Amino acid sequence: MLRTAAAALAIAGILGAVLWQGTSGLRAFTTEGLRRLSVMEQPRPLPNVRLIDMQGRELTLPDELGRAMVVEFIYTTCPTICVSLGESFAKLQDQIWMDGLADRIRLISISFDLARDGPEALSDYAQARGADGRLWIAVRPENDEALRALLTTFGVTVIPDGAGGFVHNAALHVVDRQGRLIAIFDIGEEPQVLAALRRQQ
Amino acid sequence: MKKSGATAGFQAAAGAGVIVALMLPFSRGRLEATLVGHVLVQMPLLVLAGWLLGSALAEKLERVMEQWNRFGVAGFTFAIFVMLFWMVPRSVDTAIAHTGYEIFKFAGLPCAGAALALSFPRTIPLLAGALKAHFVSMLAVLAWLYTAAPVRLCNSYLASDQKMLGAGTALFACAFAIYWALGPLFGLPKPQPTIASGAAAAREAPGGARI
Amino acid sequence: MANVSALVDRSTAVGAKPALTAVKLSMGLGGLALVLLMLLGLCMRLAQGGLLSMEPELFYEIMTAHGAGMVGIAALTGAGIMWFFLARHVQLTAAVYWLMLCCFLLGVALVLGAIFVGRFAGAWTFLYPLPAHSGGVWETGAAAVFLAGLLSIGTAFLLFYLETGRAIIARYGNLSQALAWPLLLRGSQDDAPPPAVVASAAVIVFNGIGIVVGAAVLAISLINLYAPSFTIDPLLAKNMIYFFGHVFINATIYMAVIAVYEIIPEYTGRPWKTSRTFAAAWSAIMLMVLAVYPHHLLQDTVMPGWALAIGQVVSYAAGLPVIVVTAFSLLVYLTRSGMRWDLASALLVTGVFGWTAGVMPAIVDAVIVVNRVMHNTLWVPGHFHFYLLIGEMAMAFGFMAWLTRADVPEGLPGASYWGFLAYLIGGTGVAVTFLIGGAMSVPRRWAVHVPEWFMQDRAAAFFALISIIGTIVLLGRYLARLAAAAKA
Ligand code: HEM
Ligand SMILES: [Cu+2]
Repeated sequence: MLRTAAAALAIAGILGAVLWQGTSGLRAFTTEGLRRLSVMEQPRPLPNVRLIDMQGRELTLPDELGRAMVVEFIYTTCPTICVSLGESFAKLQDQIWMDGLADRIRLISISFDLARDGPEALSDYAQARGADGRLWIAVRPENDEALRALLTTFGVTVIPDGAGGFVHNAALHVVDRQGRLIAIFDIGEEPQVLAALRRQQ
Repeated sequence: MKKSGATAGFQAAAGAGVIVALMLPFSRGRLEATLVGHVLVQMPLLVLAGWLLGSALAEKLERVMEQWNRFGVAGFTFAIFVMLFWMVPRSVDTAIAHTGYEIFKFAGLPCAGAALALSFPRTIPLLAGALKAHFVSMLAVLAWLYTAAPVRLCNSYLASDQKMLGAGTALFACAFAIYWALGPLFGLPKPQPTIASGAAAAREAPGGARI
Repeated sequence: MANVSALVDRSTAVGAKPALTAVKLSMGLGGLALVLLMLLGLCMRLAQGGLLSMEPELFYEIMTAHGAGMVGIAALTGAGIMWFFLARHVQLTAAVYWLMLCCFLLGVALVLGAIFVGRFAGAWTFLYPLPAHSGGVWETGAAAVFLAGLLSIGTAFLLFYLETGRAIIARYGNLSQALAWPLLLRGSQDDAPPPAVVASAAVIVFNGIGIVVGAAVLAISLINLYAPSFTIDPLLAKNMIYFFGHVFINATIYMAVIAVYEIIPEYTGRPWKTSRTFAAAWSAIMLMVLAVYPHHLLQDTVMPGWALAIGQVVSYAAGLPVIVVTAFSLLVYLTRSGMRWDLASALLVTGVFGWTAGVMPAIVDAVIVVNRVMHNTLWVPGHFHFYLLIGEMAMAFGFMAWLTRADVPEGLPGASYWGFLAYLIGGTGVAVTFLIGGAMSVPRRWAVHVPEWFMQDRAAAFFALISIIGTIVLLGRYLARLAAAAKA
């Protein structure tokens, strides 16, 4: 029985450690949870990629340095979660104007549907949601490579839903003035997003 | 309870066959395309394959098990931790993204199955029953977790998949509950010992009535 | 008398009485805890009657402790009885009983800590989402400890049923044999199981299912405490919780009644055999206990109609089969054969008839029209105090009196007589005053009552005091005799 007890303890110890590792110390049980946790603990610098905005102009993320940002990933024909994200952004936009911080913050909607979302689609999308370009802009990465770099850094997974659309993890990503992703929040957590932005000023 | 070599050989072949079949790119792709396929088909099949391999090896490992796995305690510990690990949604996601995790899955789950096969026959009914009851409860809890989750738990899968996984897990829970209830309820009556001889038998049987 | 000696012989033939000490200890602990919790009950009644000032927070802590504790006591004493008599027929492992007792006591410690240290006051039914919404009265941790305590108690009984189930199967082949289904279906069965085995098998089946469901809903509630965004469908939670709670509390009396089957024959000289009707009654109960809980949900208009209908129909019928079979057989005994009276037989007979009487109000309550009005009144505590106090606990005290009986017939002299009478009258009074409160539409679980209700509150307090005196006498006798036996 002694050997069995020793074996059981050893197994529990080793596999317990594996489990501990695999859940970041019982703090992150989902990939999404892990992403949020790791961003908090270690801000991630954004890649220097070329984007095209709704007026067809080119820009890069470092162009926006000096401003804190909130980033969302969307595709313009999304009938579901992107709509909620858009509402969330609209709320943020209103509050930021009221706080008088509009010139020090950027709201960016990044489309990952390169096949369909050209400047025109983006412009329609922006208009429908009240993104007039002063505070809130809609963009798409220049090419697949740029897109992949962005998705990897942000930890966003996009999979086709089999009906012409996509399934993707939706969140509000806060980027600090040095261009580092520092926090990720859920739809509905706008107050926390605003608090994080104010801390940046 | 001697098993003929042929049975053991057949079990080993079947177990290995199942694992190989699951490793083929075709079946891997198919099964891992949906949560239900991944979690409720592929993973249980891996455990089952391990169970077959474990049963085949039971006689060879008899001496080792007698020393290191009394009452199946070590084996159960192993199987519980491995299964706990694969109940975490993040592990499921990562298995798709990282080959290392995928290999760990294809190795770990069969080992867990083998551990179960090597442990159940040597344990006492009390421990076996408690484990089964907790397993059914845990499945019910998991079914609820997947159904009630306010967000997608796995980034690689659709939300509708998650609901299906919840429903499927609930079915699994019911199926196991019924399957395990049938034995005690209607199982073939064993030869009925008188009280006195029953007591003696209980004392003799390894892992019988005594702890 | 030949049969009696046969019975006695058989009980000694199995020889070892596994965990007899543990059973005696359980009964003693149960009795002591009972007195304490009855005092808490008295305090609640005094507070409701305006005779004792108590903050509502404290009232609800006390109510939680009283409810959870009493259910625990009923279950523990019932389990002690079942174990003791089952050991006459099958080979049980004493260590499991001790293990069960340890898990149980650990659970009790956690529950008490959660209530009196953590100030948890969400009632023993831990109905979602109450544990998570304390309004600042208790911390999440306290609710978690409370749930963990219940989980530990549930595990204790799981182990208990696994061991008793294993032993029954080892002896009778499978549970359907132990439920006497061959007898039920074919009219005859070689080696038919005695009533104690039939009853145990039925309880093992339905309470085993209840505990598995309970463990799941407890785990779900625990997760929800720490991850509130994982919401629980409140209706599903209520279904699961009441399923578990109802089955669990029902099981207590179905375990305790085994004492009647095993002890009464010693007084009448005729063995209590498993008949076809008896087997049918217990199988019916086993299924019905599982289906009757929806009568707790009749006020939930969102429940599907068919479920409520089943709940209602089954409620009429549930409980009846076993009660009828038991009470009827007992009546036959009482009239046909010279029943020898002493404290044990008096308490056991009281238990059966108290149980019968206690079920009547439940049947009334199960009528939907009545239920809509009554279910949240004191009518409900009236019903369960009746069958727990005059039914289950009376059987437990009967068993304790029998355990400590003298070698010679001693009748019902002096202190035993008065103790019994005080218990009976006081207990009945406690239950009946609740029923009167219910008929007056006094709501259940209100810490503060309006003066119009004070009369029944105060009468209840009076009867409670009497029943507590009776309990102390019965318990004192038990403990004193155990001590004397230990010395001898
Ligand atoms: C002296 C005897 C007793 C008295 C005075 C008493 C008193 C009370 C009172 C005042 C309540 C709260 C009623 C309300 O307003 O809702 C209550 C609840 C309860 N009692 Fe007793 N009781 C006694 C004995 C017992 C016994 C022997 C049991 C079980 C074995 C028991 C089990 C319960 C249960 C389960 C509750 C429900 C708690 C809840 O609603 O959460 N009681 N009792
Ligand atoms: Cu979308």
